[in-house]
Amino acid sequence: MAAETSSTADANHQSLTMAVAALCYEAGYESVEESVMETLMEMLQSYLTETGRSTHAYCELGGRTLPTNLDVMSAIADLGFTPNNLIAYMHRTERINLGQLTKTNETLPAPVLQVGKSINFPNYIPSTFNYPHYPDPHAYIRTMTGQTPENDYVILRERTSSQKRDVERALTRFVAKTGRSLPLLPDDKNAFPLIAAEPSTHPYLSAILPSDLEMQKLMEASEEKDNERSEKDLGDAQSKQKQNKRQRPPNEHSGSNSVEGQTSDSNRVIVSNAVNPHSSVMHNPFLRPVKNPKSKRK
Amino acid sequence: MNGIKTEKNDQTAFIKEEPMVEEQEEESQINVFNNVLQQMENYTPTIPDAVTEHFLNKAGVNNDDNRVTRLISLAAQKFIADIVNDTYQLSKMKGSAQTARSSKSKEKKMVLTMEDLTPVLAEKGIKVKKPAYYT
Repeated sequence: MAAETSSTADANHQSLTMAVAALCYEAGYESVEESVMETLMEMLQSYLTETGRSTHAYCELGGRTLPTNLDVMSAIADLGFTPNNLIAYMHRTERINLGQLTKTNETLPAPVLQVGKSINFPNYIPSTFNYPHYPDPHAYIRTMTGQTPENDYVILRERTSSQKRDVERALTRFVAKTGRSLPLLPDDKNAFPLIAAEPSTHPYLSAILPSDLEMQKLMEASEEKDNERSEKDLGDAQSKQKQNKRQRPPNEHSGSNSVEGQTSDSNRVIVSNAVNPHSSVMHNPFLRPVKNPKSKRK
Repeated sequence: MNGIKTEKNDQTAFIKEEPMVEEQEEESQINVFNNVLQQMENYTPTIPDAVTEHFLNKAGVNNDDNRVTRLISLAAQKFIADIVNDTYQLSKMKGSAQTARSSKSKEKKMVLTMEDLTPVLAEKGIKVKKPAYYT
């Protein structure tokens, strides 16, 4: 209600300000001070209110409820109004017509969507009482969801096996569909697709080279060593490089004595690549050595 | 005489002349008002009807007649217009108009200032004191 009254009050104030501005413009003024505008608006407002009040008083004095023009006359005469130039003022040529305002209905708050039926009041509360209704039942009633887990071994075993079989089938079909495939049956080519075996050029390489997982572990190990070396190198470059050269044969030695003896060649390849202490950290821009900007000599 | 005397003192004899004159004046003024009231059906004052009705309702007036509302708004409007016109005359006499950038044209920009308004309102009995600046 407070917001409503303030908004209507503001609207009326604005309308009165507009009317005052129109009157000033008619008089010949081009601009008006803001305090003047406010003063005149307040004066107009109080004049209207006072006229209305004394009109009503005169009207009630005569034992009526609807004011007549005589009541209005009396009221404005009390306020010092001279009706001499009224008609002349009415028919002035330069009057401005602001237009009438239309009253808009205040929009009611949108009715809340009701889901489900709210429970009724107890029987001792008569229905004539205008109490607010209970909220929707979903707002306060909760039922737990979910199922109790199965405990039967037979059922669980069957489910596991069928799931495994389904997953295998689905994955193989997926690889067969997306990659190169060979049909099993000659007439129906989509029923049982088989993954086509692609012969590689060097079949023995897969046996010799380490698998991806082993490669990753080796890279991590060598990177750790390089990080340690690069930290030391940042301090004193030349002496540390000699130490690295000294450290190389023992590293190779330890590499050849490792369990993965067959991969000592590849290990050496990896270590030699990683000898340059800054090569691995070059990939990471935040670990690169600082480059000073070029100073321009003028 | 600023207002219309609504009470008729025609009881006393020796001032019979005055009441006659006043009566005639009053009747003519009443006629003026009736005339105006009839014209109010076609006339829309500057103040919108809705605004006037809002303030009348605030004061307690139960108004169904459109013309009465318009009459009140016209009276209020004239009240303000009189003040503004007097201020205009005063400022022209003072010559306190500002020449805007339109110095080429001979028209001077008229600004309604508080300085001009205060003496006009003081004549009417309204004392206005507003701070010149806001601290």
